[in-house]
Amino acid sequence: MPVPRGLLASLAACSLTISALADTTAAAESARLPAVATPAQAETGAELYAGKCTGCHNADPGAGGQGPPLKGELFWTTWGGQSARKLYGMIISTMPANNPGSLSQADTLALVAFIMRSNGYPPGSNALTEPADLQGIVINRVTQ
Amino acid sequence: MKTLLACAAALGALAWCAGLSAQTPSPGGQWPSYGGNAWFQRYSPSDQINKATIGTLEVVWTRPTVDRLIIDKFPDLVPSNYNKGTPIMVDGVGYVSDALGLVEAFDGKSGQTRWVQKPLPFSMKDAAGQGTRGVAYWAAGADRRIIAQRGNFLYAINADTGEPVPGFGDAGKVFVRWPSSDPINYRTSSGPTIANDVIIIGGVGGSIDGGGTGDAGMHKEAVPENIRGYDVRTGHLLWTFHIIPDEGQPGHETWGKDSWRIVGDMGAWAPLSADPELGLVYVPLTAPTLSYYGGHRPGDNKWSSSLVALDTRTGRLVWGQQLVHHDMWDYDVASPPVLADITVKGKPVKAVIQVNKAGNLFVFDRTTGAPVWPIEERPAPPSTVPGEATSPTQPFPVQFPPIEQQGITDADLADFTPAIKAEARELVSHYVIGPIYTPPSVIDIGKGKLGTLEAPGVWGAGNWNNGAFDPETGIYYAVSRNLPDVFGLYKTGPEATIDYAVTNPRDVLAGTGFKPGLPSPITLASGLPVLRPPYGRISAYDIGAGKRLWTAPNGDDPKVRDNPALKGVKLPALLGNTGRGAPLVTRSLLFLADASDAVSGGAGIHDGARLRAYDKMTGQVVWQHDLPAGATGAPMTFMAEGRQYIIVPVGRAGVSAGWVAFALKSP
Repeated sequence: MPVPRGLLASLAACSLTISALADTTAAAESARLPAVATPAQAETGAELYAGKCTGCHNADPGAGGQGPPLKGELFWTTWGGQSARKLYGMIISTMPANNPGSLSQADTLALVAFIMRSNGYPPGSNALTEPADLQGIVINRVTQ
Repeated sequence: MKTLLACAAALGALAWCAGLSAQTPSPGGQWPSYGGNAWFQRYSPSDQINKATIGTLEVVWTRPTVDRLIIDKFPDLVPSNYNKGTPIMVDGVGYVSDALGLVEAFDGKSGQTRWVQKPLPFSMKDAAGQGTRGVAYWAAGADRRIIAQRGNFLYAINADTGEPVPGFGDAGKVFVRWPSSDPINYRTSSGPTIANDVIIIGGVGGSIDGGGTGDAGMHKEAVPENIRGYDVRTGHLLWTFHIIPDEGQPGHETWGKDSWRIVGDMGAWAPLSADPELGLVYVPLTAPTLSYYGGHRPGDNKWSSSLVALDTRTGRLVWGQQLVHHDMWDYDVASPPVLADITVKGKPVKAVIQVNKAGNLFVFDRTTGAPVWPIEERPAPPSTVPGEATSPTQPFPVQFPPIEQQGITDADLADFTPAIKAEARELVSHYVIGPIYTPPSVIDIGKGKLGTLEAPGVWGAGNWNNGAFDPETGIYYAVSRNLPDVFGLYKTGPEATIDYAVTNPRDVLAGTGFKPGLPSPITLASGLPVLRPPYGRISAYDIGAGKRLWTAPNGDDPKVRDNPALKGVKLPALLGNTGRGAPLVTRSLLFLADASDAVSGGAGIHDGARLRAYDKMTGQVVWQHDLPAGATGAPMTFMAEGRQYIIVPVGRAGVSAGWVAFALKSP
């Protein structure tokens, strides 16, 4: 259900960072970011996220919940400057919280693809096939 | 150490070991339970580190969250920075659940590794995991065991070698996941408790909405995480206590519409405590599905959000006290029950002190469950949500002021400047506010109402971190935080099995529609909290005298202090923070560290975390020291070869998480 624009406008001045605003900025920045994974791989990641992650991280990956936000300001605060391979490592080593060790390499790569896409990294034409594919990708903060 | 060994020899090993896990606060400067002792007092009589000497306290060693033996084997192994584990310390050797949930043993004086529990098989898949807040120690003669939980298993490990104990379950481990066709795994964030040779475990519970947590979601169907007792020698299941009473059991009648058959997500994820002399274990229980809407479960819903006392040997319910009726706020009993022998009006009382997320402090006779101080059932506001079945009253422990702000009024809103106050008023005008137990409300966009802004919020005033008791003074130290959340409900669609679900206010504000989520905080445009400081407190209560002695901020929050919107504004010396720092009390001092934002929920300190020592009679800060990251678990203290140490678990992304040990500078 959409929020009426009038109400949204009045709340935007006195509320949380609006994710839609962040998304717009992210879209403008994404042209300068390296492509990560493919659209299909990111979509697979989105489906996995919906099935395995939302209970703690919320349906919106930027919202956070029992788990931290995986998109936006708090994500960059945590992960900015670190390698995407480390993000892969964190996920496959500790997630999901109620069954660590259950994610396959392929599933974890798809989740990384989804998270990177959520943070403004455009999908490209090369699928991630192994963790080493993420080695040189540094998670950079999208300028706001 | 020599004294300890002589003592052990004189008393006999068995008697000594019984003493280790019994009530005496940290006997001989040890720390045999992650709560300090079985009573979970987080107290030590050690006082080498005191107000006069603390000036020379320094970091003497650190160790990483996972030993290199494991990390070096698997290049993609990245442990969580939520380093929960508080070490136990027995005869100078520390035992702790590392950030992967594997038990590590280390030398207390140097921090050097003795052994590491190896994942079996030794593979990346089996190395993956998460830590717990603590492990348990048990011994009979030369048979010394560390009992730990990891994933779906309960482990018995040889305390001397780190090898599995043969004869305990299947080659040293017991599978504890419920037999079920659904995909819900067993999960705990705390650890096992041992009393009377019985291992007692709680657990998080879970729902089909995933994550091992059913707080969010659109489904009422879930698993209750019943409490279980296992033989510490064999690993055999001895008993199961059904936290949702079966037919014929007391409390069964409090689940209307046959909801007892399907509701779950209840459990005890906070630490348990035990009195081996009385043969009782004290279990703090949580809210049922859905934590914010209960139209499908009319009634009080016992034993949700309750404290129950069980016979350690049989699991029989000895007594129970429900602290929130028909919970609609996720006001779990989430703090460890703290046992204390006190004197009330000249009479000795065996008490249990229990704080809940709502911020109330209850004291019961731990033998009978009778309230030590009066509890009044007072009217609570009715819900406006269709189908909801609000309890007309809630229990108020009237003797003690709550440990934290309850409810929200205009006077509570941020008022650093007139402009900030005006902004806070405008923001809050879109939410229902009121006293404690103001029910969640349905979002009505047309009327500009976006739910109920509730204090305490979903993470509660008192959480797992809460509470320490000084048996010498009879003072209980509560640690709380003031973090309100928005409880905004929406009518679900056909994909749901529950009529109303809670959604994240961020989604509402962004206009991205209603999706099931968790209640979450709102902030001003500058990022400032919507309420006035302090954002967290320490409160000292004389439990026997029935009065609060003092309150003080629980630390500071650099994120608020350095906010550009506050430039030129004179601020208090300490603002408090919304982290979940855990206290440690010694004969001389009260210690509390700023808690990290690496913990679940993310509230806490990112930069500038400190460990502080407080005068425990006044709340004045007498010492502070920078930490490499905020605390992620509770601190502990012990003596080794005449030197007192304090260990703090810390963690934050981007810095090396681990354990930091302090001691006085050597002369």
